[in-house]
Amino acid sequence: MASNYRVIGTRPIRPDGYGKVTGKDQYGADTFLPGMLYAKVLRSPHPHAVIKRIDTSKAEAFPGVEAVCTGADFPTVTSDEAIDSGEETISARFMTALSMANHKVYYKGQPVAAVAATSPAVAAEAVGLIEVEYEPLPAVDDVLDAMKPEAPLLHGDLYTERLTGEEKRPSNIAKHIQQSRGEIEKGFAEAEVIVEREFNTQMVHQGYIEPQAATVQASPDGRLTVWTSTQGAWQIRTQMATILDMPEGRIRVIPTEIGGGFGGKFTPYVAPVAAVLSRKTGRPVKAVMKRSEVFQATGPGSGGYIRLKMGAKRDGSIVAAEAFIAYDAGAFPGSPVGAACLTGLSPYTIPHLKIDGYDVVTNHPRVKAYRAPGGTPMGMAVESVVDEIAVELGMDPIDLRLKNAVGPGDRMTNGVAYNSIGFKELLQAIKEHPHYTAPLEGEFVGRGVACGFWTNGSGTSTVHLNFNPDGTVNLIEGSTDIGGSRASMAMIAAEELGLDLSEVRPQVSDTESLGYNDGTGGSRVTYATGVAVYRACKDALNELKSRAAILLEVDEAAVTFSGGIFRAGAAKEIRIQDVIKQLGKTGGPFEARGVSGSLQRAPAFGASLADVKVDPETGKVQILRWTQFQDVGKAIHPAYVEGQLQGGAVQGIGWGLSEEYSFKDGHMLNPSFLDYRMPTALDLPMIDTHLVEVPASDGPYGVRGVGEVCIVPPPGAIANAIYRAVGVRMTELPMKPECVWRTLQTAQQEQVSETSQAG
Amino acid sequence: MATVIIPSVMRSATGGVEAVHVPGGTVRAVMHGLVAQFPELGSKLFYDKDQLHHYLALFVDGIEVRASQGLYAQVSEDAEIVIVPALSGG
Repeated sequence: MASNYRVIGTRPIRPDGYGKVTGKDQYGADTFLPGMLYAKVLRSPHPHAVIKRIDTSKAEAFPGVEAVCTGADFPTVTSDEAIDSGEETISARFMTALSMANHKVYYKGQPVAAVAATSPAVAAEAVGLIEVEYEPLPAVDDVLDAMKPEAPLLHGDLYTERLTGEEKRPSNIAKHIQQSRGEIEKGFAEAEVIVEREFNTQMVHQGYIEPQAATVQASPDGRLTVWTSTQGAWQIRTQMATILDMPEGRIRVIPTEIGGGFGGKFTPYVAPVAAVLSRKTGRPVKAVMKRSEVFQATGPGSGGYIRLKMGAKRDGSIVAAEAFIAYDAGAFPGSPVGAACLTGLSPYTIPHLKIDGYDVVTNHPRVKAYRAPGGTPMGMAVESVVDEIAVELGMDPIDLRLKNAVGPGDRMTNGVAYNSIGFKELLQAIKEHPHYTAPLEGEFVGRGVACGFWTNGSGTSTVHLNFNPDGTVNLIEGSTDIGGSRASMAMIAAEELGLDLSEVRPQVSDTESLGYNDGTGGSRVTYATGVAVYRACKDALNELKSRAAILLEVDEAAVTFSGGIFRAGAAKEIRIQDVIKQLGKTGGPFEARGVSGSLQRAPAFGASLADVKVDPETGKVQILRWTQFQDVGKAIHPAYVEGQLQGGAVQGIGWGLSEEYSFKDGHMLNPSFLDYRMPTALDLPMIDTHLVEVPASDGPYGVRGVGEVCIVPPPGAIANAIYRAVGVRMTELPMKPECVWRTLQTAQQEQVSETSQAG
Repeated sequence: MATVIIPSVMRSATGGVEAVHVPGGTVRAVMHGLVAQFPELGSKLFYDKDQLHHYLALFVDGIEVRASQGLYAQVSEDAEIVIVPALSGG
């Protein structure tokens, strides 16, 4: 089909590619300033302890040490005000504790002191001289144990927050979320097939390549300049202002290039420490985390426990679903259990449902968002149970989903109605795909399918355009480019202004050079920042049209614009580049602006289709073939959209097969990439992709965000494929070899037992 | 009049009613009108008169308004306002 667009839908080279492939780009750790000092953080060796005493005198006397800080150097923040931390909010007092402990530590790796010295080596040696006396406390290591009334309390002043009333006793359950529809008992009474399963999943890390890093310069007038690698410069500003108890306007955050984030780079873990040390010394201070610190002291994705019961009629109608979801928030409240409550069951039109979600604190690192936060464990549970119902009913798993799939006008579990969505089109595409119908031969091989849903965000973005004397355009945006968004934004501008892509230079700005921007998360940038670019282009064209009228010596009303050319009748025309070159003659320079906000959601549905082979001797699962499907609305740059789907699938496969935080009494046993097993190219086949384009309701082109939903379905697809390969239902993540082997052994023993009883 | 969809966990305050019709040109006016009809909702929706609980989101015709115009968002005669608890954390 011929495209209506000249640039949208093409696959150009990304404008920021040269710096990346030549290694010239400046990442978080690449900031160097005259007189700069190096910070090193001392971290708690205990997952739960009272700090009795800190003696920094030896470190302060160590040659080369310029300053030492502890919790006593930070403002006392007691407010429970919810602070924007990117993809979620966090209570002000808890956010402060992520930067520096005061009196008590709640997870292994929590900062307790820090040193600024003239070299990283001096800082590392000096920090070892700080003496801390702890009184260890029992650690809470399991989400269900933490919920028990007799569990040790992390916070004596944490009360369960729920809409039905206040709790009187402190608890490790920070929040109880309830959603319901219809009458649950009636629904299950109508059901002819009921499946109930329990699922256990573990914490996982985003595994971004670049560790957290920040450099801070405190000025004599009290202002701070922060260079850091982050998904949201404005959110870093807000959080630092809260932690340091200072006005936001006195902090400038300059985002560097970013080496991955996936939801994990919204929190200023080390920047506040660098700021306090810079204030003490008057010199710039850089802090860079090591990988073991990243694992233990940043925010991984939640694990937890899910109990799910679903009922269907013989014709395949799902009539009831009941879910109990307990997510591990780590040391402070804020797990993505709300998103789990929303996303898992919303793809299906279930008349009777009841969902209870619990946000539970433990002595683990406080979690952060991770790509469709909360969606993947719940997606595994729902899609496994839906698959089991299909098997019970003898239905094709896609047909069962088609029978129950939501469409426009149906409601999510929270009551909000869907606008334009493409779930049914997506399911139909899977059914018609050659992978779905290809023969699958051999012993212990199976094919599984699973779907996923993510609401996608919108939020606020600000974009400015200014113009160069050579006829080119600078596109100034505030959205950190984490997945190729500079290319997409430049393509939208090139499309609307009729320019060549090379004539648009996209740049990511700092917090003092542009209006407010929400962060790069929630799959919002191509959608919402794209709208801001589109509006900035319309603003620019309004002004450029008046300038063209001057140059064409006609009334502005007579001027039209298309294909990069302003025309007045058949005889007079001028290229947009030539209008831009002559701005000085027609009234001087100007800046065009576009702001997005108040957009409808553009929800996303995705699916994974997996062929696997299981080795029953070892339990090892090999991925033979993989196709990732997604309704992308409209792919601005299809290659980057496909890349997002491939990346999400691979992270989902890692979550499904090998990645986990292994804890013992609150201690992470595997804080290195050697022991935390992410998939490599050797573990994977080519990840094929199939894009479905059902335009979203709002915004130009029908764009939907694409980055997150692709991580939701992979574990469910693998679990369903394992069932078809060897006949066992997997209910734990990761489905590592020992777990699959143990499940097979248990199933065999049960079979033997049943046979002997029958005999 | 706008239609306000009450989440299931708050319906004890509305006698089980799911959809309430309330007049008002802004979200603020509609929500205050809602509380006037069902006073028990007051403490569930607001910290004080003009500050919504942080765990609530409001969707007006599918658009989440809390982060933008908030209580001052305009509401049309036939608008649907959905109160959504606990979206934070994701």
